Amino acid sequence: MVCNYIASLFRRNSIYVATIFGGAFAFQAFFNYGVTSWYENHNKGKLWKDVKGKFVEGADSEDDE
Amino acid sequence: MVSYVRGPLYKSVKSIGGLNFPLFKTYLPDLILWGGAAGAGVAVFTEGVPLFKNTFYTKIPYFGSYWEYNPDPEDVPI
Repeated sequence: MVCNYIASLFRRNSIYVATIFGGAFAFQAFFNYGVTSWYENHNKGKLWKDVKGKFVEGADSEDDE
Repeated sequence: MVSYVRGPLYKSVKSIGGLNFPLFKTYLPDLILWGGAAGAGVAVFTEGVPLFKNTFYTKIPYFGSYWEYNPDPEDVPI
């Protein structure tokens, strides 16, 4: 049962603290990845990696536009 | 006939600073769990440190590539 599983996280303080820190570690990576993906998708075509070919001689993405 | 002794025979368990082995064994699961919690706490605050990223976090299976950072050398400011 889900309730028992959640309650087992609170039974020992060490497990509770470890869960919080483990969750924080996973969430900060996940959140950063999510926001970066959204931002790069939202600004597609305006980012340095997209327009680099226009400004830098011999860059590999020159044939983009 | 009752045989008397001078006093109770005490035995003491070897201990270091009040901590003996049977007692330590009862503490062991908690110590391991707190060690894991401390490790997770360190991981949270060193998530962005390059040394920790390269030594530990890039080696996490499947998700490790998130911490890899290989920019074009000409894009890195001096």
